[in-house]
Parts: sequence; C-alpha cells; structure tokens
Amino acid sequence: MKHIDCPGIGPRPIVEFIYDGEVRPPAPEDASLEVLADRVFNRSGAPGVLREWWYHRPTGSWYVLERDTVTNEIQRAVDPEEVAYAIPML
Amino acid sequence: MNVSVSSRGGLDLRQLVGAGAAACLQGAGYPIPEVVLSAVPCSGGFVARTGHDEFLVAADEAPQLSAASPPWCFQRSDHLIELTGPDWAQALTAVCPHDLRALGGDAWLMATVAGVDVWLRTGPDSSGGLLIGCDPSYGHYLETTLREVVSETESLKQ
Repeated sequence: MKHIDCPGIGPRPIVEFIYDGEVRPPAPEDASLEVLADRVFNRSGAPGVLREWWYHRPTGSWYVLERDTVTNEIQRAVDPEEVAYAIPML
Repeated sequence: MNVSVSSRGGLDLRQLVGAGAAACLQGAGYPIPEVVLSAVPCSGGFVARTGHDEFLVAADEAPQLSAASPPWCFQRSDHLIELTGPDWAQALTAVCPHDLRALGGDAWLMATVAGVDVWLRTGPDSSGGLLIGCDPSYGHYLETTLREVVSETESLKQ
C-alpha cells in the first residue's frame, strides 16, 4: 500500500487521504468571464512537479505536498507559509 | 481468537476548541498532553490533544468546563466500541492498514478502520484492550463489521 509521509502524523496509508487538486492562487477579483471559465475548466496537465492539496480525514488536517506527476513520487510536504498566496487567512 | 466486541457507554465526551483551550482545561484540573495527537489518562477516561488548540476530553462524569467562547466546548456523541482480549490487534488487521500491535500503553491514534475515520485509545496496558470512537452515524456499521470480522476469524481457525 502506498504511504504518504506528512509532518506531525508520520507515514499514513493513502486511503486515509482525499486529493483536492493543485494549489493555485485565487482568481483576481476583477477577472473577466473568460478568465474565470479558463480557471475553472482548464488545467495544463503538463508532467512535472505539482503542488497539491491533500486532506487527511482521520485527523482533519490539510497538507500541501509536492508530487512528481511523472513518477508519482511525493517529494516533500510544503510549509503553509510557502503557499500563503493560496490561503486567504494567512 | 481471544477478543470480544462490545458497545461502551458511561463516558462523557467533550471537545474543547480555540485559543485558551489548554489553560481552560488546566484550570478545571485536567492534565494536558504536551504533544499533538497524544493522550493522557484522567478520571476514568482521557484527555487527547487533537490539535494545537483542540482537545477531546473523555471522563466518567461531565467535565465542568466553561461553554463561553473562546474556547468553545462541544458535547460529542461518538459511538464507542470496546475490544477486549489479547488478540484485538490481530483481529483488526483485516480492517485497518496500520500495524496496531505497535501501539503501546496509553496510546492515541486517529486512523481509518473498515473505511471509517476513528480514534483509537489503549489503556495503560495495551494488551488489555482498545477503545474505538467514531461518528455515531457509522457506529452500527462499524460495530457489526468488527463483530463479523472476529466471528469469521474464529470460524476459520476451527
């Protein structure tokens, strides 16, 4: 079984996580409908290292992980301060 | 297999959340776990630290905690299941991806059992048994599943 190693909870089986997609900056407040539609429906899909949201259900913890989409290897857990641009309350 | 599954009552569960939660608990005379995701025993139950400013208190009597905010104090109605007998960890291997034999005494773990998010708590002596708490809406399913797992494992051994 694949495991994800996260700070605070250690290696956990992937079945305990929910994938919540790529970390992206919030949409600009004055964005046009075309820009908003592009943001909602389109992804680049290019292979590489992606920053992604992962939710650990049993502990109710959110994590940002960097995953290589080519090898499916999780490279590191990102400090929330590094992705403050995507978290309005930080 | 020497393990039995039963519902457990008689524990009052409260969740204390928010800034000042640790001080509030200390003021009420409860011990505070230093490390997040750990627990310490208290008055027939335990205090578990489920976050930096978040605690789950299980006691045989309702804790005298202020409901003023913050911190907020919520009553919990988790379904409690008790596994007793020395083979409880072996019984759970069929439904839990963790190796629960590694849990020591007074241990606390938040994990998934039979697809349900649960918390697991061992007593001072881990061979004595395990207490499982889960969302009450999943309680009947989880308890029935655990009973069947134990029953099937016993019948396979005969």
